[in-house]
Amino acid sequence: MARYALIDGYLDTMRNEMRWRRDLDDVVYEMEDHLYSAVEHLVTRGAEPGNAQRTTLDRFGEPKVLAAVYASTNNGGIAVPTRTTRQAGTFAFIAAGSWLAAAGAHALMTTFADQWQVFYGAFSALVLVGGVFTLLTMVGIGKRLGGLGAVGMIALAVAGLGVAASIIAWAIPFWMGLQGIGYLVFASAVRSRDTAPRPSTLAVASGFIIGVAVFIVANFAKIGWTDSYGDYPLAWAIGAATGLLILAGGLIGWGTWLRSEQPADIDIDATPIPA
Amino acid sequence: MRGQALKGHLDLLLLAILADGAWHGYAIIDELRERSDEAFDLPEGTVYPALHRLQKGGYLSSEWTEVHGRRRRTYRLTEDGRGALGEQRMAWHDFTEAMSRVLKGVPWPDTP
Repeated sequence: MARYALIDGYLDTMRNEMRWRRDLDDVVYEMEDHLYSAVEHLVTRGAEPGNAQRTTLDRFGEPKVLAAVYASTNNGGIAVPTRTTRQAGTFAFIAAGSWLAAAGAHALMTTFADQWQVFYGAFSALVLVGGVFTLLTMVGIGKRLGGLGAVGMIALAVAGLGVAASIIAWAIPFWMGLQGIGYLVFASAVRSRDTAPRPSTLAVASGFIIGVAVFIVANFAKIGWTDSYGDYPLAWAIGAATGLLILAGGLIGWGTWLRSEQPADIDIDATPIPA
Repeated sequence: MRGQALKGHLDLLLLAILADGAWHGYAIIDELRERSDEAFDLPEGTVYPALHRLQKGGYLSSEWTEVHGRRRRTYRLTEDGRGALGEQRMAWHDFTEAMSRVLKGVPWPDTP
């Protein structure tokens, strides 16, 4: 197969413009087949190879415009990594660290029951910090995916309500449950886009649910001792640690993904034709 | 015809071309241009995201083969795609009928 320098240069440009795509190889292979077929067709009909390549590329479209078309979503958004989405990756790491620290504070609260108020205060503060940075991560992910529509907004609102309510530092498990519902719905919307790493999305979706399930089982099994309220602190601790560890793992995965993508440099004002 | 005028109709056109069998992207675009007497001449690269979207929606399936040392993706209509083609074709028919009824009897503007 003869190689055509202009076409190959164009394909290299497209590779760079769409470097964040998971299916990049397939997209470029398909373009390569199209462009080479078109050039060969024109050359067969007597066109000079240089002109055939220029005509073909002119018909195919500008790389920046095409990259925007490829990144466009059904709701009209442009799903590309930006500096904001990279920053959201850092927020995801901070959130994960806060949730892990919260799990640690909860374990200390269980271990040193005589000082539980101190550790409960730390736990509440860390839950608040973790919740705020998880919300910021969610906003960044929404931008990365070109918007998540009404479902994404509702999920953000529910999780945001859970975070805001946790400021009162009372009934924290209940408000965390509200956050968990928000995370579950949000992660479902993220999953439908098939762009974010699936294990991380699954972890964010299921972390709190699994934590609650573990707590219920542990409580039902009457693990450990009872406190003055008749609760089983160890069951609480195991459930909290499980849920928070899974959530933190998911956020670390999201953060790694968002940080790994170089910000795009495409024409986000381009008006895609397919709708 | 400018590409923007095709906005919203591209899916129907692609489904219609693929009703005849399995085609690869270049052949689909070539056929689209030929059947429309070159009236539908849009930036060719923009057709692929539409094909991918239709495949993601379950209306098309695709498979890779190797031709002349290159990887080639060929698209085929699924059962859902065939159903969608029928529905969209009927909707398009109703739309054009209604338009024709409204426009019928309206005098053509004088040519300058």
